[in-house]
Amino acid sequence: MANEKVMPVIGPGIPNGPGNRYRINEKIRNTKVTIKRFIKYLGDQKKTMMFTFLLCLITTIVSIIGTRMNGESVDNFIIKGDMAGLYNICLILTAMYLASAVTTYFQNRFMVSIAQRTSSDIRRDLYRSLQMLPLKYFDTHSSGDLMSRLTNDVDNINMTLSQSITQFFSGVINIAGMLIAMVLLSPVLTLVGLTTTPFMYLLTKFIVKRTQPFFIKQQKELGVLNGYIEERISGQKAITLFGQEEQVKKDFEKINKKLTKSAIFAQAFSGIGPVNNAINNLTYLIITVCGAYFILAGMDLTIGMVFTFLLYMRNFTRPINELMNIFNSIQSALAGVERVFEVMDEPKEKDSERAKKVSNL
Amino acid sequence: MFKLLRYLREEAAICAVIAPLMMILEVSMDLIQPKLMADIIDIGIANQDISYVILIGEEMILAAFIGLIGGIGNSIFCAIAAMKMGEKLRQGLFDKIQTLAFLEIDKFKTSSLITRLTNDISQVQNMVLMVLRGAFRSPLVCLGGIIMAIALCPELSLVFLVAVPMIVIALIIILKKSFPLFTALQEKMDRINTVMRESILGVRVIKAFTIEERQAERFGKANFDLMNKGVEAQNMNMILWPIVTLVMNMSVIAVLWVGGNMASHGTIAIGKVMAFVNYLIQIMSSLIMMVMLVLNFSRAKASADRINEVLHTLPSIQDNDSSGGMKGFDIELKNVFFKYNEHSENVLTDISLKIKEGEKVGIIGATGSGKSSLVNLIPRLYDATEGQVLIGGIDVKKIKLKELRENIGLIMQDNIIFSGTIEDNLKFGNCNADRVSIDCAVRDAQAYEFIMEKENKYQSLVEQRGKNFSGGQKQRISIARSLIKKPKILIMDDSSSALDMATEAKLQSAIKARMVNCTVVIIAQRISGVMDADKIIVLDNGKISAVGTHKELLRNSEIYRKIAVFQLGEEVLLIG
Ligand SMILES: Nc1ncnc2c1ncn2[C@@H]1O[C@H](COP(=O)(O)OP(=O)(O)OP(=O)(O)O)[C@@H](O)[C@H]1O
Ligand SMILES: [Mg+2]
Repeated sequence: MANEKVMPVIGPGIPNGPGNRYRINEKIRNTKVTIKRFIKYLGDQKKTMMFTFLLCLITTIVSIIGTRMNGESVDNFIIKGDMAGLYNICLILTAMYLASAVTTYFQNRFMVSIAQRTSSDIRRDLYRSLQMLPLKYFDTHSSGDLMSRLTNDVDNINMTLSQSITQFFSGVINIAGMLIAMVLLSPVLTLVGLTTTPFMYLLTKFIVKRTQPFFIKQQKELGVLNGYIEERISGQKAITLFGQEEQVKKDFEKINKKLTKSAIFAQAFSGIGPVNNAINNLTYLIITVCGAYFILAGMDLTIGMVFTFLLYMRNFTRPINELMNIFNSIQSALAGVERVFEVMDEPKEKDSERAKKVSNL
Repeated sequence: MFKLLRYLREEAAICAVIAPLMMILEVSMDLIQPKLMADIIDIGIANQDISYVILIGEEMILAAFIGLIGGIGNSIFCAIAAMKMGEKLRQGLFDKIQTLAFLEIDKFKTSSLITRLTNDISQVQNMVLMVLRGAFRSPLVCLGGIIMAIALCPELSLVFLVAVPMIVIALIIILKKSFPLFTALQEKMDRINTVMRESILGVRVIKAFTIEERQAERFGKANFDLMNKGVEAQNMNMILWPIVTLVMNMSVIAVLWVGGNMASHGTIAIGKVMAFVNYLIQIMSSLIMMVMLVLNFSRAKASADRINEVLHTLPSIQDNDSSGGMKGFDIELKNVFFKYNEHSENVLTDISLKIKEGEKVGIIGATGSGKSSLVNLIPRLYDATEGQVLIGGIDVKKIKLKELRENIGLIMQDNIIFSGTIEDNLKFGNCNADRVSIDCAVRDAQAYEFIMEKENKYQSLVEQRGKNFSGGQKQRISIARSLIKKPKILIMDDSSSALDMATEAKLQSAIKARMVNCTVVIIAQRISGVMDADKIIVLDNGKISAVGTHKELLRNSEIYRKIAVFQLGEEVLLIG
């Protein structure tokens, strides 16, 4: 959901979209406490959330089973020419998919309303705490930063709740499901296929670490740019009055160019996608070659099994890649939650002081 | 959205072309993999030829490597294209805002302009990045899949005739409904941000008047509206997902059923049915990717519309061919009527007045009587709704804006100073000012002392909005800033309101001495601020109620007398 940001981390984007790559892996000081406190915010929506997870579980399992049944119907019915059986299985599949469409719909709907309600509650509470902060707080903190917590961080929480959480959940189920399917099919090939997983993990970590400085630089320059925009546009009337439009344009151009430069670096070399893709391809290669070797070596393995295994592998690695992105966005949302709580925890102005100040006025 | 594509130019355009080519390289390498795999199995294993297996394995590594290069290249060129376009667009929008007149700035509202420059631009930029990275891939896979499927079995392909239109129609209907919802959502966002900005920037006022409750109520309402609109807009998009999946899943079942029956009659090979289903699944997943993209598109479209709205605004005040130089500095208003927008009431009604060059004029009147509005017409910050504003006998609409504003120093009521050093601020209107004239102006503005007390003097840092300066200090900096411009006409809009009486008096005599031959217009709340003027204009509810010297007005103007007695005591009447 687009919204006003005074100091935005470039828009939220969709969970798997490039938007998330803009974010630095923000350090969260105390993940557990933050999560616990956040869960309190869900309040009576926790039940809805549990229910949503249940729906999500159903949806995911239906899609896993559905994929299997497609294959089985070919093996068991079409090849044998059992039309009655095929008819039955088509009916079952239809019912399953209809059910899963309904669960998907409600799962999304519930999450949207949970997300919107929670973020609106947080926004409300944050605003209330802001109102109770002493004047000194406003003198020592930039308004842009405060606005950013009220808008950017809260919106980020909303986005993550409404999309990332269920995606994360179904991703995990998918991975687990596929892993089980793979082990059932061939434990040896599973072992072979998994050899690249730690490699992928390490490489990802390496790239993230290397690109981090670019992101930090980009973030800093974005802050400078937004600060400039915030101040100049607020003072636009003075600029017009003093006929300084051209000068201001030039200054802006400089800052803008600088941001673009670091943004390009941050974006271009955060190429986890292609690297992952290459590693995935290597994984398929290893499986095929090893599979071929095992078959030639006379192990209990058929060509069909290798094919099916490759299919499973694809369904296994895809959600893993997605999960990495989703995990990042969840993490940055949590960092936002923590920043919001930080403001809420600021010492409040005491009533006695207030009374004094008012009577002084 | 597409209108914004014109910002995709120069390097950005080149990169936007190269990026998909790189993507095609990556995708084709990906597509080669299964074929090579099939070779390993069909030829290598079938012939029990381990060296062949290894040979093809090496080819697969090569393909993976080329694919990696394509992928990284794509990522680099996408980044360049999207970021450069974002830069151009941001600059274009910023430049456009620089040309807007006060009227348009009022209309758009500052906070909304800021959102458009920051968040909306990012949305569009992200969209471009995403389109370049993914959009080519999905349609390619989708189209390729459909073609392959048709080649495989035309009869079964009839399923596309049903499925594709269904999805397209669903997509169109939902997008049509969701665009306005997202625009409305954006408005609600603006609304809540306005309240927030007010509350943060105006925290002093709010606390002083203890109107927190009222603010909280406004916020609560805005927050509630935002939540509801958010739910509505997102829910609309969420429908798309299950629809697409359902349609595609049903197609798979249809193919299974029909294909199965055909296979049992021997009209199709079983392998073909399987392959067909595989293509269907491939098409489905790329369709889902596209739906994802489209969902984001509706969000980016709302942003693009908001950007375009600003870009397409014609500034109401701008130079034209007939604009010329100034010929003198006498100010004259002829039957001027003014209102801020068509639907509001007149703020100024039938104002006619003359101010000769070199005259010192005071304007006084109750708050909201239109004093600021009146002086804003002189440097043409707004245009009179009816009537004429003339300077040196020429209508201001026919004077070059730059020249007009260079010669008029208007010190606005809300002192806006910018972050940077004090010197940056002082030189804002005249970057060539030398030290002597700066010193002199700063002394006249009564700002010398406090600046010299600062550790870094002129180089002291000013924080955003001049937060680290007191109201009176800001006021004096902005007075000095206007004096440094050496204007022919100086207008001070309540510029000494935050100064104590003694400093105000010093300021006034310094200004008087400095501006001997120049016109000075002073708006003041305190009579002491205008008492000495050659002529004082009393404004009442947008109309001129009286004009004259202090003495004359004490005799003739009821309003003026009341203010004088209230502020200076009964004895003023005796002197008069
Ligand atoms: N930018 C604006 N847009 C719409 N209405 C405005 C705007 N500025 C002022 N007004 C309205 O015009 C009227 C006159 O305002 P103006 O600022 O000229 O009064 P003023 O005499 O300068 O008051 P003060 O002494 O408080 O500065 C007021 O009713 C005000 O609400
Ligand atoms: Mg005013």
